[in-house]
Amino acid sequence: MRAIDIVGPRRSADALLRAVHRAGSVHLVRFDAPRGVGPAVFAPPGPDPATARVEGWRDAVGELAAVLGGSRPDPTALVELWSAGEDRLAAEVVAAATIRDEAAALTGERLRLAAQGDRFAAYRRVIESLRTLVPHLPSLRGYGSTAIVVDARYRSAVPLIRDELDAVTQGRCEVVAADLPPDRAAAILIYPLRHADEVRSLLGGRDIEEVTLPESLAGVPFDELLPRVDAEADAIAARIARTDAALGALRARHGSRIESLRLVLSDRVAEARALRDSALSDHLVLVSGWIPADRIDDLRDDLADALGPAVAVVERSDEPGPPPPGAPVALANRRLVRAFEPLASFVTLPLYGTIDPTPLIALTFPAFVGMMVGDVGYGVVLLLLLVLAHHLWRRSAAMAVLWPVGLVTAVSTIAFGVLYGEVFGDAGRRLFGIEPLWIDRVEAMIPLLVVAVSIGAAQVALGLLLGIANALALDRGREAVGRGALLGGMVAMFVAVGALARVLPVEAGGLAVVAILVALVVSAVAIGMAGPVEMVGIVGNVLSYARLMAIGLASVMLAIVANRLGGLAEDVLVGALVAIALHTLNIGLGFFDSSIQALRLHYVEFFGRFVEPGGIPYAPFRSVLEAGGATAPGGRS
Amino acid sequence: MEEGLRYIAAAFAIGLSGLGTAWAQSRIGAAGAGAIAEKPELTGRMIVLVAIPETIVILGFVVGLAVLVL
Repeated sequence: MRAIDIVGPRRSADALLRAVHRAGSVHLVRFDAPRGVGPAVFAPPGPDPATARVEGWRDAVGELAAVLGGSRPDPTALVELWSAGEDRLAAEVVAAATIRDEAAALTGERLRLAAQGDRFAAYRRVIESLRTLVPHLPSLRGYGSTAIVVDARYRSAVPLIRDELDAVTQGRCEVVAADLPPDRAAAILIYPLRHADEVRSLLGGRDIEEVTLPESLAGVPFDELLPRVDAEADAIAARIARTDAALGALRARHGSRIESLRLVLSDRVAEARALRDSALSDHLVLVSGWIPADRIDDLRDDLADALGPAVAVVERSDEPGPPPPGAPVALANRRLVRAFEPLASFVTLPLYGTIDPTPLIALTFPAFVGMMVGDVGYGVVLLLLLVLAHHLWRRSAAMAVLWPVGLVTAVSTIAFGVLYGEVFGDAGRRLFGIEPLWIDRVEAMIPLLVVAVSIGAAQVALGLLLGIANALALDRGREAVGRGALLGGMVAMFVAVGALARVLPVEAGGLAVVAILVALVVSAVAIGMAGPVEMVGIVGNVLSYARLMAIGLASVMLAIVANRLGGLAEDVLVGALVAIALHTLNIGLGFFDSSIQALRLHYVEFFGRFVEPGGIPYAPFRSVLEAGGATAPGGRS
Repeated sequence: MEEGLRYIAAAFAIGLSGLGTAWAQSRIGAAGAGAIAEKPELTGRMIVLVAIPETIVILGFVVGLAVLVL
């Protein structure tokens, strides 16, 4: 990654930013004036009314795009609009405003109709629940009716209302009530029409929902209401369908172009903001950024094509010492290893200039999962599932990572399965006499535990070595010494354990104890009290790798249980089903848990020793033309 | 008698460390559920965080095995 300054004439500032945007390879940063150059020479540009105007356009067009929703940009329109001048864009925005009015009217109509439809649905529910009562209603000329709805808890209020209604109408009234599932009750009040106002005031001011029918249904006899409500609801549904069709037609006619316009305006706003982070003198514009070293020549060519020889790309000279803060990180790995980059940078991206952990996790993650699951049958099942998923979701972004990572993991699982002699647990051995090539996990627990902890010791030691290298690269001498002391202390601890186990001579044990004490003191001096604490932590880190054996043991035991339970059934079919169900569970649990544990070992025990957190991802200033796959005149696709 | 005590010791080693792990995971899991409700993009990170205390039970397992075998 190289730090560059792009210098051009001030009058071409906008065109320069456009060309840099089109090139799509520069990670822009705020201009940082070199020593001795004050703000009087290079000052950031002040607020620009044109930027505010374009932002307003983008927001207005964005609202319209949201209303039209879901349209993909039209590549031809993108290219055409991207190259358009401001006047042309202004005309497009004016045209979009007309479409927005039309869309707003249709959307408003859609909302109004939907609300109306909801009201009719509510009427229908009330009428449905009261319909059974209708035959009991007196049919009298000069009488009116009012439907009310109350919360079921207040159903006892209905008789009180009846008493009051009796008093108002001198007994010439009727009240029928029914439950309105799930939690309300409805009632119809029948009373002489001349008492309508008094009834209304009687109901007013209480927590009673009066079901007021729309004007179109006023005066319709109750028993004719339901068909009329259904007819009205059908009419509303038809009008909603017509409105949706009109909105759909509007979307089909203008959606892609509006989305293209929105993206182009977003690009213009991004360019204006980038200019704000640049520096301007009386005659020059200066844009700072980072670019991969192998793309500098392409950038020079692109800028020369767009603006001629007046623009220069100047590389900042490397200064001795640690990498400058703010340098972005672009991990660059080969194809298979690249698939592991999301796993390697899942918790944090490493700082610029430090070691990329991706190749290491690409090697050990599949190995750890394979070591834990370690079963030929399970590996083959994973392989088949992956092939199926790859066939179904070939274009999915997740599959681009899952496919290579899963493939290597499945192969590793099969390989360890061969070493352990496991095919669906002990089924391979019992049915076909398959024997382990290396070790029987069930019988040789302790040797496998020693292997697991040894792998941990090796990986933690490697982490400390890489940590020393990173500390030196970042010019942090004390940290390097501290990590060196931790590494020395760790080796001494293992020597001491070896002496205790009488594998190594007793004299070596004595020397190791002295070395541990020296390492404790040195680490405390170099990195403070965290040093001795980390020394203890290292023991825990190394023992933590025992999970490579423990999780694997649990997995093989469950597989054996599946086979035993399957064998216990008297019916072959039932036995097979039981075994398949348990193996399926074990495959799911085994791969999920092993993956989590393998990741955890990397993030906590391994990366914690050397990965320097806080890397800034390389985010090149890239136009929508790149994203849309369109080609601008004279540009690269 | 001594053999029985060894089994009891191994059971204590793995049982108590299992309880410790479960308690730690319950606290992390509850906090994680809250964090994921606010920021669903933290789901992957939280799954890894929940796995962190499992070292306790792994160490208990190692101790239990050592008690039984060594």
